[in-house]
Amino acid sequence: MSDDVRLLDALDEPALLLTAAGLVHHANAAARRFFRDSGVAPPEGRPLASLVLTPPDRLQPMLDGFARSGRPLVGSVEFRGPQDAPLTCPVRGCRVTLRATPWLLLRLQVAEAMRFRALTETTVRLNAELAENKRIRRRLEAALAEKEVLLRELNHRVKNNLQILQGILGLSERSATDDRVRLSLAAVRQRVEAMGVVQRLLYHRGDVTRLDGPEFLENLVGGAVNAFGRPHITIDTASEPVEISAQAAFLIGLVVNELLVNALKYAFPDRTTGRIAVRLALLADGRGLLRLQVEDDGIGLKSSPATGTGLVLVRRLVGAAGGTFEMHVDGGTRCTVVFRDPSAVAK
Amino acid sequence: MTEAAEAAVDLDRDGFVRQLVSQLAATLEDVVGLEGAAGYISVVGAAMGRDIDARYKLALGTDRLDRRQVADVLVDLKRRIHGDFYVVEEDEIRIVFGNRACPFGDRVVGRPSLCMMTSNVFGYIAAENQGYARIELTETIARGHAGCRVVVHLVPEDDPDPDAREYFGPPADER
Repeated sequence: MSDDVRLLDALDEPALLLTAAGLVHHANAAARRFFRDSGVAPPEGRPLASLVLTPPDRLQPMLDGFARSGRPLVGSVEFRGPQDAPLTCPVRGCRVTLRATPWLLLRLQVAEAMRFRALTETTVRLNAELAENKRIRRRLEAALAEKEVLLRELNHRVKNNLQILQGILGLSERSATDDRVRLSLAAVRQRVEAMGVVQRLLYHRGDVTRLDGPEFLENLVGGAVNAFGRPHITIDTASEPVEISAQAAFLIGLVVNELLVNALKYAFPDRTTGRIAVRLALLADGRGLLRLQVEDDGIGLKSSPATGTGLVLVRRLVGAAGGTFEMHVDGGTRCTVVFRDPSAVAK
Repeated sequence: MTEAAEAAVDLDRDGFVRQLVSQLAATLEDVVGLEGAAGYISVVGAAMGRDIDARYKLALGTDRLDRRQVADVLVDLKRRIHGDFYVVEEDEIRIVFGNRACPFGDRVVGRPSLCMMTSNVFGYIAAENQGYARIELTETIARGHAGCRVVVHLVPEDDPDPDAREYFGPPADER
């Protein structure tokens, strides 16, 4: 092998020296490695056409063009790449003269081809992952929509069942002959009604997990006034613009019902007029701390026989929610409940 | 006629295609660099040269163009595509051309890769018919000169200008 030809071994890229007839006269070291790794027999002495996948009617015109140019021209050739996968490889070819003999020098830009193939494979894989993620997302969205439908249906059934229960209790209450039985049934019916307010509001909202605080209090209090026939007792509601969870609403509903019943029954024994205030506030600790107050300007709790089931129920409900309950008597009674609703947010 | 049809817009097929080619060259230069772009345009130029050479031979009824015919053909093909080439001098070893207008018009300014069209078309036709050509673009409108100066060397040298491009034709017995 002449020194001129050995120079090609200094190239990093695979390079072939072809005769005018297209036979591989010399393959540099990089080219021999390339063909060996592709499982192709050593290229020297063989027609280039037998080493590549590019059809002859495309290969030959390209080689003819290279042979006419003293400067490298670009082209592409399909080789049998590693793992037997076709590899479209950019090539540069031109005529060179060694010892007065014309040859065709063909350089393979394999690194560029492999980089491009790696990029292509990565792109294909990422596209597949993206498509799969989209499919999963569509399935999740469908499942979520189905769940929301089921929740609404469940809410609807609970609302209906509570209404049926209220009806049953009302019927029993009206047919009771014993006053104590009738009063007990009335108290139970009112508690069920308080829960019914929550359920009704949840059903009518798009979101079955949260309620609007001010709207909830208005609906809750309206029912209590009508139940006790004390038209001259004014009940004012004041709620900060806050959204509360359904769970908090159930608690508030039962507590307000009990405290309102107490006030309406016992705070104004010798008066027809009076005021009761129901207030809901979101305290500024940033973690959903709610304060519920029911305050009247009546005779004060000490002077009333209000130590019955209602207050026991309130203390148990508030305690179970991890909250606190305080009563303060000063020319009237102020009951304060503080508990945490992690979902409560200011609007 | 619509309002758009009556608007004074300088747009026709010829201008559109010239601008398209210029933009392609610009994109290539931006993406793969000047040398790379020149390489790609050279491939196109070689194909164009092959096609044009065949057309003239057919029209002139000959299998090979002599040196004078090569000079005539190169001037004529440029004229037909709105270039303005002319022969400055001619002898056995070279033909020197001047040019006053580029077929790409003002869109060639700043796009030296487009000169590879001239280099390859001239180089192919000269080499195909004379056996060898070495094209030197000593001045070009693309690089800001007032006109182009293209030297077509017909004889190889031991130490040619490194910016010149060589083209090889078939051996004498095959021409």
